Amino acid sequence: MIGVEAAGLGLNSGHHAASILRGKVGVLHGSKSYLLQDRMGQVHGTHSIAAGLDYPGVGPELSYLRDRGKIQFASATDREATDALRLLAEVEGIISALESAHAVAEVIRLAPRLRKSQIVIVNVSGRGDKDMSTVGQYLGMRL
Amino acid sequence: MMNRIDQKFSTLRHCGEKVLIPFVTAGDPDLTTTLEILRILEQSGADLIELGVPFSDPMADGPTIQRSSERALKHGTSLPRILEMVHEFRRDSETPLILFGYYNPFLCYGLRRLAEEGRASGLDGVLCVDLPPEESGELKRWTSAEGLHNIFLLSPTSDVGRIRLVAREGGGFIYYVSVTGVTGARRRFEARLRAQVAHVRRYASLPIGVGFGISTPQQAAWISSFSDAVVVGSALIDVMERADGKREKVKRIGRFVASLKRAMNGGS
Repeated sequence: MIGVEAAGLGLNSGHHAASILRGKVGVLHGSKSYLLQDRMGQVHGTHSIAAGLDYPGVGPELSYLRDRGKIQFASATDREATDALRLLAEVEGIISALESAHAVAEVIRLAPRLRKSQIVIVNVSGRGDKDMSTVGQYLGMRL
Repeated sequence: MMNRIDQKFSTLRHCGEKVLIPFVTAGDPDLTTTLEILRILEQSGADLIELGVPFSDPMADGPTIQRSSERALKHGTSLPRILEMVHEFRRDSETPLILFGYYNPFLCYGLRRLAEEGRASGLDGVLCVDLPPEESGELKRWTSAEGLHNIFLLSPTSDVGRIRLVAREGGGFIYYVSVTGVTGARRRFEARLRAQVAHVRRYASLPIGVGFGISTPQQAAWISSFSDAVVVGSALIDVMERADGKREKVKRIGRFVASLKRAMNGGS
């Protein structure tokens, strides 16, 4: 299983929300999970084009599954997620949410390296009609 | 040795006085000034002091303390430097001090280290706002070993089970949150606050301090007529924000705290 975190403007840009890849264990809003924080435990500001990922922590279940080695984590930038959303819309007619588009971006990266017989399931967790104005703005389109 | 918080409550109970607990954020406007503020608080009638550890996400605090935390964090106020300042204060003061903060900076610093260094620098208790008693075992293990109290919160929505839990797990006093919501001055309180505090008292032998929203000497006097202690935070920070220059801030805070204490002692 692969989880895809929001790399925002890039994992090294300081503007992302990749809690598992770049955080350490902390407690915020009543849950213990990987948390983006400085060395004194102050929580970092985050950025992602996907509002649902724009948070310094991550569900404790995901932190647990990561520690158990059940999920590997990758990341996708705002650009990669938006491109993935667009491609999926053009090719399949499915408008995924920007959050889910991060997972689609990973499929696009992964698929060429797999055999034809291998099956990939991607969880499109939400629909993207809510994101049209954000995407339009990002792509410089007038809706 | 008896914890300074217990000592203070016991001494004041004997002379029929109520405990005034001002809150200030450590490092606002800077740690040197905070040390001066602690000293003026003590001279002006503070019986116990709550020292806030600034946090990036202070979810129990209203805009006043949020701004105060931001100011403190902007120039790098951190737990080790706060403890150094506490150490300095403790050289010539016996006023009990409570560290008031959020869990993540404590966890990050190390709970054992916090307890050991906290005690060594002169702290008497820890109040971790976002740590319910059910989750406090790890912190308590270290604070108890050092003789520090863990103070827990109750609110108007706490049921009897929770009141009993806090009465059992807490030390020093119970912090009763007077309102549902975040910190910050309130214009008025509901009359039933008196009954709510009495309700808590039926299940708890610890002293009860009431806080959140108390901003005037009249409110402090009324609340101290049925509680054991009164906590005033945002109102102090409001006073400080309105004063120009560090010296003036310190002076005005002293004057304000003296007016609270006077009102609680029956004067005006």
